[in-house]
Amino acid sequence: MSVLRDPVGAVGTAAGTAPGTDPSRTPVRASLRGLPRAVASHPGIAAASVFLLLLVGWVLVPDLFAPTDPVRAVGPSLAPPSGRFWFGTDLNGRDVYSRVVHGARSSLLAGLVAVLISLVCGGLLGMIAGYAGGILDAVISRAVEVLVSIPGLLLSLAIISALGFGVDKVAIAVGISGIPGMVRIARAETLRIIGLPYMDAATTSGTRRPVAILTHVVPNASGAIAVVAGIDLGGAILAVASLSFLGFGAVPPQPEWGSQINEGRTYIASAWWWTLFPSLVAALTVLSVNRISRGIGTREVR
Amino acid sequence: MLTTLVMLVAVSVRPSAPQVVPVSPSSRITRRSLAGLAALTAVSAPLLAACSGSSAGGSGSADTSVLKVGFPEDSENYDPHQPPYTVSRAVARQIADTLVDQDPGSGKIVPWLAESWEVNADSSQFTFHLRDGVTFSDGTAFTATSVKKNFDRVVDLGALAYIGASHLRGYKGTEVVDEHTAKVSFDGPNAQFLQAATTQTLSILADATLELDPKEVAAGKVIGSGAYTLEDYTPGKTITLKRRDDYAWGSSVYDNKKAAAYESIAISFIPDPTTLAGAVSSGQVDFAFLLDTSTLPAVEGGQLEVSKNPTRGISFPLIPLVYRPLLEHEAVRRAINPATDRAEIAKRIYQGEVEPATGLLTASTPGSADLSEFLEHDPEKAEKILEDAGWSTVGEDGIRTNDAGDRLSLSIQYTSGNTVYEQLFQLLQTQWKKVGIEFELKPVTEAQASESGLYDAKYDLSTWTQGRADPDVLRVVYSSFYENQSFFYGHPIHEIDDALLALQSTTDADERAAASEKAQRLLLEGGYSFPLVDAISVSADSKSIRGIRLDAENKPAFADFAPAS
Repeated sequence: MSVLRDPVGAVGTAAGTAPGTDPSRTPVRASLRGLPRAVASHPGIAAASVFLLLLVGWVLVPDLFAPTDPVRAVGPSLAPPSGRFWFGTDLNGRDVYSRVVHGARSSLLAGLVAVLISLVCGGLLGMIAGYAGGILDAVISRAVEVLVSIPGLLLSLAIISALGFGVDKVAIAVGISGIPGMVRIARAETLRIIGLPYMDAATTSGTRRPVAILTHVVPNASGAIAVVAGIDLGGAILAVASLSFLGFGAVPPQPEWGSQINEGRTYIASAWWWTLFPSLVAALTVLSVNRISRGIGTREVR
Repeated sequence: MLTTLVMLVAVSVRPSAPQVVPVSPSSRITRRSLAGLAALTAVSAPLLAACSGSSAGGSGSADTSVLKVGFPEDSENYDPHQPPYTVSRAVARQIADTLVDQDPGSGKIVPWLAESWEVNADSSQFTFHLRDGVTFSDGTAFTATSVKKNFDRVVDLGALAYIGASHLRGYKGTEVVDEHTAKVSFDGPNAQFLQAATTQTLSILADATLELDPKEVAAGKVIGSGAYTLEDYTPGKTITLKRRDDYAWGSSVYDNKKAAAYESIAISFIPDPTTLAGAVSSGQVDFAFLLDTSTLPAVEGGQLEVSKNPTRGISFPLIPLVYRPLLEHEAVRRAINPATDRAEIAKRIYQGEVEPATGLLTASTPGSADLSEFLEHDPEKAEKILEDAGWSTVGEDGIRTNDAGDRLSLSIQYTSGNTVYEQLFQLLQTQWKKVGIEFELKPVTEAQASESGLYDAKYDLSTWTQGRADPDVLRVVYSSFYENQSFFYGHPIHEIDDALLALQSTTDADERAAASEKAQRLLLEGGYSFPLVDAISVSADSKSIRGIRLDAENKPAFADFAPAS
């Protein structure tokens, strides 16, 4: 749930400072207030929320959920799932469950950081492009179109090849490749907002441009952008896991979902648990994040 | 016998210099992006097999038109004289013949293109009496001049054929006595030469090939006298070999000395281990070469014949780069062998499929020595060595420092990818940590790996295995003689160099075994190598093939493959 609280919370604060004439913030508030009701009436969202809560627990206090050492051999090699090793053990005799729990931190934080990077950079560039218009808009938009023409994962691969290995670098790479999409949405939102009457009012009453962006565009565009960011989070977690799967992620023996899935892959015939459980957890995470973001997104559109 | 060991497929088959891709070069983005797909293929393979099985079975089982073969990687260099990579040598074995061959069972040298030979008293002159009637696939005849031109070329290639250079060390020249007699002379004893002449590095190629630029030859323009000709090479994908119908000079260890049974051999490169295993399980290929041990459970117990052969040559080691500051300390080097639990490595990482190393050569290598006394797991001994040398402060993280404040932290750089080595290194990490040595893993991309070489590395340990059924292989890897191939090049350890040279000059078998043991002893006492396990070479074939002939290096000899009737 902390996943959601950040963007939505930001909207709330920003909305408080926005002028009272702002009509577009009401749905956001409504969605915030309606959240518990929505959860109750949508069992899918409820289940997703429970799972995400569990993940937050894994991220904050992994030792509470899995006291076994994730990097040391604690049992025989490739032991099947049992009461002692819920998800079995890997080739080195390490507890797969413990590695999944301890790996949640790097996997999820990398996803969050990635979204944050695209949100901040993309949102800013998009608003500037939308508000400034003219040559600046043309330059930014064309540049974004060039980037959009490169598939996101390939773009991240290119960036990561330059940056080197590690979860932090994977997060940056995924974040950068998410910027173009965010620019487009921020720009579109900005264009929509500056066509509204209260913007004309602000301009005629002499508000300077940068101030107008901060006080009118940012708070009003951020609702839509936050929802998109939420949906992007699922994709970002998946992209981080993919890059990790390809070997760019966590440096061994640090646990990370993508690299765990990759490690177990060649043993799928003899030790299915090694690759299956991390895959399942990663898949459920992405599904849960998407389910919740879309739930909010739908309400936002209404 | 100079293929790199099979367990090190990833190392050996890549055409990069050994020093730059020390552990696992399976990191190309294109290939890795296919990895996900590969896993899928492996899962779906049995289903496809079920579909195709019935139709194939109905069309007659003794189909000899095409033998489909899967190799794990394209080595990108098919000049038999140039690279020591397993895949290159396996292809060279089919298209080119050698003067002599080695019996895989007894290790004896037997006739091939040379019907007989004489060696002078001090093993410095070898006179080969060549077989009559042998032709290259372009129609030209094989004569004593061919022998001379080939050996001259290997020497001329220099660094491109460093293995050849080590075989022909002290080469004075080849004298063409008559059309069918060639006399090869060296400036001193060269006891290993006869065995070296069985390896693909000293293959005999046609004049037309020798005149080409080495790059063109590497790209597959090779003409030899072999049972197959190289018909087509699509880099990264396939190699097609065509049978020579007039072939009649098969090696004396072959059952079939005439033209091969299979009309053509279709080799596909299947880099992902699971996919390669899936391909042979599903019948997509009839024979899979160099399977990864991790896929053994997938191929065993099914409809396949699986052969696991111990490799001959260097045991899979970690080798210290002795010029690195920490490894200049003898105590650090000497502490590593007793800190390493080889039995656990064999049991966990290789699931008991391999044996712990007993020396620097695998136990099945002729002239190997049992030096397991140096390789016993004894953490207390390791700790004592370190304590005595001043590495006595153990930090909170369990890692030792010495009085100068140096932290006992060693690192290895390897090309990232999903490999058994990464698992192995993690096990070493825990084993060494118990005695206070930190082992840091540095995965890099292939491009980053090529930034530093064997002699200016920014990491401490590397690895290289070299296959050869002769103890002389030690001289190539552990001496200071060959740039880019010898680990101590530029940092000679004279005592060891001398002991290794004795291997080349001593002719008597017992004396050679003693020389091999002496050199290994010196290397282990000084902590110059940390051999881990004796690798195995795994291949699998569908039961549609009756005869599978593997040579002394476990490479297939397709000329001697026969379909099950």
